[in-house]
Order: sequence, then C-alpha cells, then structure tokens
Amino acid sequence: MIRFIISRTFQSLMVLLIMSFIIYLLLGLMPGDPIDLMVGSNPEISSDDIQRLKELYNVDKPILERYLIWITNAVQGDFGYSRLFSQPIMDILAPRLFNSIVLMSVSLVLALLVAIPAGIYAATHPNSLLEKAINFLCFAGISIPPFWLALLFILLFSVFTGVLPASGMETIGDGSVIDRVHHMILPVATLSMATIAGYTRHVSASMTEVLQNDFIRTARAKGLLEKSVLWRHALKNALIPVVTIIALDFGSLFSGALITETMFSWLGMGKTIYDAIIGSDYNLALIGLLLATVLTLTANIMADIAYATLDPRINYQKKN
Amino acid sequence: MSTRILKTQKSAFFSRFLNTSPAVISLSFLSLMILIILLAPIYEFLRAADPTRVDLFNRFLGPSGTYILGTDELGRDLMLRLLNGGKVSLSIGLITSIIVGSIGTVLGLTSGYFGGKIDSIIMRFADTIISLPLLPLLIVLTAIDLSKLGIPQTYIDMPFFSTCKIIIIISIVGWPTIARLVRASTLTVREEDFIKVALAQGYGPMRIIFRHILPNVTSPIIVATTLAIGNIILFESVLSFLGLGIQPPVASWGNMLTGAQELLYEDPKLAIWPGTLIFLTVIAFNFLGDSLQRAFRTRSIQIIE
Repeated sequence: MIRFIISRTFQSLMVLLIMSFIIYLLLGLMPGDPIDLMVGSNPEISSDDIQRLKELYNVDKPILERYLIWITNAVQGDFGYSRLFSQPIMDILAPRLFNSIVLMSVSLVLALLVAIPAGIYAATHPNSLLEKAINFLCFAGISIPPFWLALLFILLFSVFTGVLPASGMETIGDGSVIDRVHHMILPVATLSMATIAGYTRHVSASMTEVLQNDFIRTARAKGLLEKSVLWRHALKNALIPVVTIIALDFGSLFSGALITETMFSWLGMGKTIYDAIIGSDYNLALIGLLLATVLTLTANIMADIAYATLDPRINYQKKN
Repeated sequence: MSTRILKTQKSAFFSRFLNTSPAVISLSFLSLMILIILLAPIYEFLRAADPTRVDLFNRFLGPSGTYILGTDELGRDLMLRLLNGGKVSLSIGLITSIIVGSIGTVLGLTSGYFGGKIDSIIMRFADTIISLPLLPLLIVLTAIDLSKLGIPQTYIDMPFFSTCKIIIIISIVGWPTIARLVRASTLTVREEDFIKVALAQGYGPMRIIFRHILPNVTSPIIVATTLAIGNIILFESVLSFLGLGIQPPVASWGNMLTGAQELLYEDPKLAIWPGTLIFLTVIAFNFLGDSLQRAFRTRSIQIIE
C-alpha cells in the first residue's frame, strides 16, 4: 500500500512537472509582453531602463532557460510578484484558496446530502413517479449551463424579489456570520446543482448494480429489515465507486467553482485565475493554475487510497 | 432469410427507440429547431433583415410584429440573432462531436486491441486529461495570441478562424471519455471466437480492428458521440460567455449572454432566451443519447436470450 502511494505520488509529480512546463509555454504565448505592459504604464521610462528590466526579469533569454530559472526559484518557494496586485503571489492566493475551499466543500456536502438519498430512492423504486421526476431533474441538472443557472438565480432572488444579494462575499461594513451566509446561498446553490445531478446518477447506478448481488438476496432471505439491507449492506458497497468518482471529479468541481466565482464576484481561486489571464498577470495565472492542478492531483491520489481502504478486496501490491 | 431477420431486428430497435417518449420529443424538438435555423436566411432575405444591424433608436424593444422577440441592447433583432447563434452553436456541437468521436474511436480501438504498453500510455494520457481542472486550462488555450506563433493577424480576425480554434480546443479535451468507452467494448469483443478465427486466418491488425471489431462496437460509439454533442455545446457556451469563444459580431448562444448579467435589471429577456435554447438543446441531445443506450442495451439482451 505504501509503495503504491509513493509510486502514485511520484507519477503525479511528473504530471505536475510536465503541466508546469506546458502552462509556462502557453502563458508565454499570451498577448502582450510583461515589460511592454510596465512600459505602457510609465511614460518616463528610458530605453536603458527597459533593457535593465528585461535583464532583471530574464525576458531576453530563451524560453527553456527562463523556465529553468523560474522553476528553480519556485521550488525554493519564491513564486514572484503579481502584476495586477503588486503583491507576492502567495499573499494573494492564500486567502482566495481558502474562499474557494469554503465554497467547494459546503457545496460538496450539500450535494452529497441530497444525492445519496435521492440516488437510493431512484434505485429502489424503479418506474415510480418520483423516480421519473428524479431522473428528469438529473438530466436537467447536467444539461443546464452553470453560468445561466447563476443568471436565473440572480434574476429570481435578486432582481425580481430582492431577497438575496446578487454578488460579493459580504456587505461592506457588516461582515457578520449571518451576512456571510446570506451571500453564500446563491453561489452554493449554483455550484451544488450541477454536482447533485451527476452524483445522484452515480449513486443510483451503483446502488442498482449492488442490489442485484447475491449477498443482498441472502441478507433479505435472513429476514433482515429492508432498511438494514439497504443502509448497512447495499449502501456500503455502492458508495465505494461513488467516492472514487467524486474524488476524480474534483477537476470539474473546480471548473464549476471558476464559473460560480466569476458570476457572483466570489474572491476565490477560479475567479483569480480568470482575472489574471484576462488582465495578463502571467505570474499569478501560472501559480494559480499550478495550484489548481496540485489540488486536483491530490484529490485523485486520495481517490485511489480511499478506494483501496474502503474495499478490502483491492490489493495494489498484486496488480501494480 | 438472414436479411429479413436483420430487418426485423432493426425495425424492432427503432420501435423500441421511438417507444421512449423522451426520444420522440427530443428528436422532434431538434429537427424542428434545425429546420427553422436552416430557413432563417430565407426569412432574412424576405424581410431584408440583418442580424448584425445596429439600431440604437430601437434598443430593448418588446415583442412586436417587426421584431418577433424584440431587440437587444444594440437594437438588433433578438430572434434573428438567436437563429444565427443556433447555427453556430449547433454546427460546432455536431462537427466537434464527429472529430472527438473519430479520435476517441481510433485511440480506444488501438488501446483495447493491442493492450500492453500502448494501452497504458494512451489510457494514462486520457486519465490525466479527464482529471485536470479543464476550464482554467481551456481559458489559457483560448487566450493564446496566435500571432506569436507566426499566424498572420488577418487570418486570426476571421470569424471562421475563431470557430476552428474552439473546435480544435474542445477536441483536445473531449476524446478521452469516448476512447475509454470504446476501449472497454473492444476488450470484450477481442475475446470473441470470431476474432480468434480471423487471427488464425492470418489477417493483419488493421483489418481485424476495422472490419471485425469496429462493426461490433458501433453502439457505444453512437451513444457516446450523441452524449458528447450536448457537452460540447455546453463547453462552447461557457467559453463564448466568458468572451473567449466565438467573437462578436458573430452570434453564438454563449456570447449572447456575455453582457446579459449587467442588463438583468434592464431587460431580463436577453438572459432568458439564449440560455433556454442552450438548455433545451443540450437536454434533448442527452435524452437522445440515453434512449439510444437503452434501445441498444435491450437489443443485446434479446440477442443473447
């Protein structure tokens, strides 16, 4: 097991290294040149200064050399400065990472609280009216453009009724817990909606499959209560693939968070990355993207470990 | 005799497919919409209307005889913009799904048939793409300045070029799901006796893959490609909405919503119409894919019985 974790971690580090190079290359192809941007904001700059800046930021060197310099600094914890905010990258990203994690985890918990019962119901009551309704809602959930869902929520709850704030994380000057929760309702609702639909389908499919197993028939034949059969025998087994899918799905949760954060001006990682790319703040975009990749890869490793821990039948030593 | 059996099997498949009401509704909705979109140029010609014509004296108009759905923030005919946007969004969905389907099929067949190293390389690649936070990475890809790669600015400014760019970018990330499904089906078909016979006859891998395996894995390919259309339309709408996909003045359902958030208080219909059409189109393709899957599944069960 430990050997498996080490080898998976090593693989993920390789992916991260390759991704860092690809992203570095791609950001080098973005419109504009960081020195030009600095020059543009200062009309009194001389051509000597420009040359000096170019040397300072290594812009005159070939891309591979620049990448090597950058990664040597990055490994030592020096991520550089943000152009938009004129602050060290980590000072900007740390609080935003926290905001994103709050948004994503609350949405995730909410999604699971709805999806597990809904999925079980759909699997145990096939062809019932409610099952058909759940199924239809799942299709609607995976088909609705998330940014449009956000627009609809804003339209319904802010424009028409005015009960919930349309954007932001708190009312300026207030900042109490109630106010913050009030601002969270619409972003969380938006982000969990698409997630709920996907998760419900997974739970229901997994549960349907497990319920066809012999040990379920045995459990029923023993005269166990249906409640006990479902929750203790079936669900335990049905959740194993679901846990894996949820962890593997972390990348799309992050993509969803990017849209939600942009729509509701929620100061999280996704919005920061988007603003950094649009505002040609390459350093910030680079670190933000890599941080997002690290999060996703970590979630994937955790998925594998969870799979192995939850299901004792899986033995990684043998297969790998 | 054998063709007759095949025929009954086929018609039974279609009747099962059409028995599911979501399939019928989706199919009629999509056909009707495609028909209207194709007829739009005739309407434009007859009314001498132009979807890109700006008329600042007639902004935010409600529905009327001249403007069936009213006008937008620049006084353009909303109905015409929706039809033109639909043409763009649907063509991107259909074209990209064919590309994604072909790449996924070829890689899935290769991976499943050869196994071993080739399989693990392709699948690791696919898994990595699936697991990455795709939207931020796609945003970077769309924001690239292609003139730095030596492509002349005149090409880059062409609407056709930005459409191609979106198609390529979505194709890069879209193939893994289909490749995985095709690979899984290939693995089961590969174990069948007729493949052993083909091998024993000394056929090469190309012939076995394309003549013997491919015809037996068409159902998952069709299902996955249909489901992909919906996802691609969603992806295109998100990118265009963020201002990185189809560039105005060309309309797409996604970029029609770009300014809608600021105008929510002024004119909610601008947010409602394009989104409704994206939603209905995507859900129709998803229902279609699901019904196809059910119909195929029942068929294979009946054949086994």
